[in-house]
Amino acid sequence: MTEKKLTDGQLDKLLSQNEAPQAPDTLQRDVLTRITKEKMSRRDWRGYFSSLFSSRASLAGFALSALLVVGIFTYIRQPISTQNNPSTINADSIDLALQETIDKDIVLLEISLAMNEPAANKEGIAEDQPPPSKEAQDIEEFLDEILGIESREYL
Amino acid sequence: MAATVREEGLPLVSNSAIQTKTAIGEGGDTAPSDLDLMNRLTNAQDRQAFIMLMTRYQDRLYATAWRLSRNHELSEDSVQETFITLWKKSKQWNPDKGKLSTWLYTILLNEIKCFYRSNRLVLKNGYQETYPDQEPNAIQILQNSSEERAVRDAIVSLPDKQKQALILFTYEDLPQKDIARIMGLSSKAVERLISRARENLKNKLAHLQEGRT
Repeated sequence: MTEKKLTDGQLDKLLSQNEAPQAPDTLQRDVLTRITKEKMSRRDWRGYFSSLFSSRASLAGFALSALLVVGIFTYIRQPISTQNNPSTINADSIDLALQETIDKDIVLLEISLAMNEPAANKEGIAEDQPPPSKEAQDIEEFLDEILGIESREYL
Repeated sequence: MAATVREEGLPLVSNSAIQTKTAIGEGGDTAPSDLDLMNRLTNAQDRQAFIMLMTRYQDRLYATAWRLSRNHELSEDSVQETFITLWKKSKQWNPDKGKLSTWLYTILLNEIKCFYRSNRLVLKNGYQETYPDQEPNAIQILQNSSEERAVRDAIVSLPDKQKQALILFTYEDLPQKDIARIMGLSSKAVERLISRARENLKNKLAHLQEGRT
């Protein structure tokens, strides 16, 4: 059995009938929409600010917006830092709290001392105070000799 | 190769229509050249120049994509991606290395390859021939001719490289040197691919001639 094949001319004729549809009308519009969107999304901060500052009105608007944002932030942040969130307590508040505690301790200590303090003698030395050691007495004598009584009292 | 133009098939892209557009686009006095438009696009992101380039090439690119895939969605997507690349990377085109059309076809074939790679599972179950929604007449015309359908089936069934070389050579009238650049092959290899593709088609379409005789 002999295999029949097309000639070049016959094949060309058949191939010429293979027509394709045209591109849809929406193609260009879709491409332009896409590049516009991508351009918008890729706009960087520099571009944003340059467009923002292009007019005085927008500059004033930006300044007001910035002030508003800072004000709101400050207003919101203040009670959170000092009351609700212990991790945000600042150094000043810690100092204040410590000082208050120390003052209270001092008052308590003074009261306690006043209540428990034994009667002092005329020289201001407590009666139950242990007598000075031998070394201390030697030093006192030495000082008496060198400086004299007046000087020692002065010291 | 001589091209026949259907009178009722106006919305379709015929070979002579392609040649007319090419003549206006690449050498005509009335329209700016590709080089001028590309300079405007590269230097100033000139949207008007971009639109003119799209108008000039969209049908050719779409027709090539459709002949390769016979799928409207794939063709539209790949042509869109080709134009997006043209917009973004217009500086990469070097006129000394080849024509703009060569560069665009290279991008298009890469886009189609990427699409097939990313949609391998979907396409494994078989593709469906689809057309743009706006052309019901064109669909009828194409579907009514069993001979045309047989030719399209035969072309689509060719191995990828043979199919690409044949379509670029037969329908886009590109010289083998340009096809070689687009496909990254030597001119000799392209010549062999085209020859093999034609031989395959002669065998596959022999039954059509038998029916006539």
